[in-house]
Amino acid sequence: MQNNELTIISSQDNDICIVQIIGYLDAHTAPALEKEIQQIIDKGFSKIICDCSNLEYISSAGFGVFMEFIEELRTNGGDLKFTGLNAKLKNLYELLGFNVLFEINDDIKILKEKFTN
Amino acid sequence: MTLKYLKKNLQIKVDNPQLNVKKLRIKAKTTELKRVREFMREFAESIGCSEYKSYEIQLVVDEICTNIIQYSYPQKESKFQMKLIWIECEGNQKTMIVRIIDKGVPFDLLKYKAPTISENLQHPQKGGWGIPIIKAFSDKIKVKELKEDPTKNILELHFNLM
Repeated sequence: MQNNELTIISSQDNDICIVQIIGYLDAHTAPALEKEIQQIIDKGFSKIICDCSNLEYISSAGFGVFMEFIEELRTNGGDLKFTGLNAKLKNLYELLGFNVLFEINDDIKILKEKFTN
Repeated sequence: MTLKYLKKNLQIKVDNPQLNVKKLRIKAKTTELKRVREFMREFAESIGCSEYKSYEIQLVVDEICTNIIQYSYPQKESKFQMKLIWIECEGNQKTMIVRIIDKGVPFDLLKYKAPTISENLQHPQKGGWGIPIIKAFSDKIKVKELKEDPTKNILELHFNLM
């Protein structure tokens, strides 16, 4: 999925889906991410890693998308984990308590290992 | 914009010649959010605001405009009412004031009891994340009324830059 402000690239690593979120995630672009994650779940994935290495901006609409799916993913035995958050995004995640709710790690390999263990 | 309101703003400029003032008018559509952030970024940069503080201000103004777009204005298009948002910025190296004006359904941000973060975390909700961001990153929030034009809602935000 791509528009001028947000690009989403999904790839598969065994039973884990890695979602690269690139650009600006706001109330205008969040529905595209919502659609993408729904499609990933519909394909049978429940383990998702969001790679935010190139995510420049996120507003509450973006957080709303993650919250929308978290219960469903965990009920299905999976989870939503995050990697590649820059300092600004990390602070925002901490402000909202997302660092408690979600696993965040700069090393994507560790996140993958935690899914497989 | 009433004469009294304009006079008041002009008075501020006279009192403080170093105060920069800039205004933006947008349609109440999410497609405009990018333009809002760019406007805020450029204004913050023009008064020497740090990149990090600028990011917080952009986020706060984005959240408020999003609330107006999604909740204050009726979703149906009206031939008789242009759905607009006015953003006014003024500031210097020490402080920045942003006024966000709309003509939608009034919403008092200060009276609204948003779910707390712990409530949100216990019962995951899609919504309710914007107001904690607005309150955390704003140093002062005022809900103002314009007696001369009661159809306008004015939200005034203060940001300390020092």
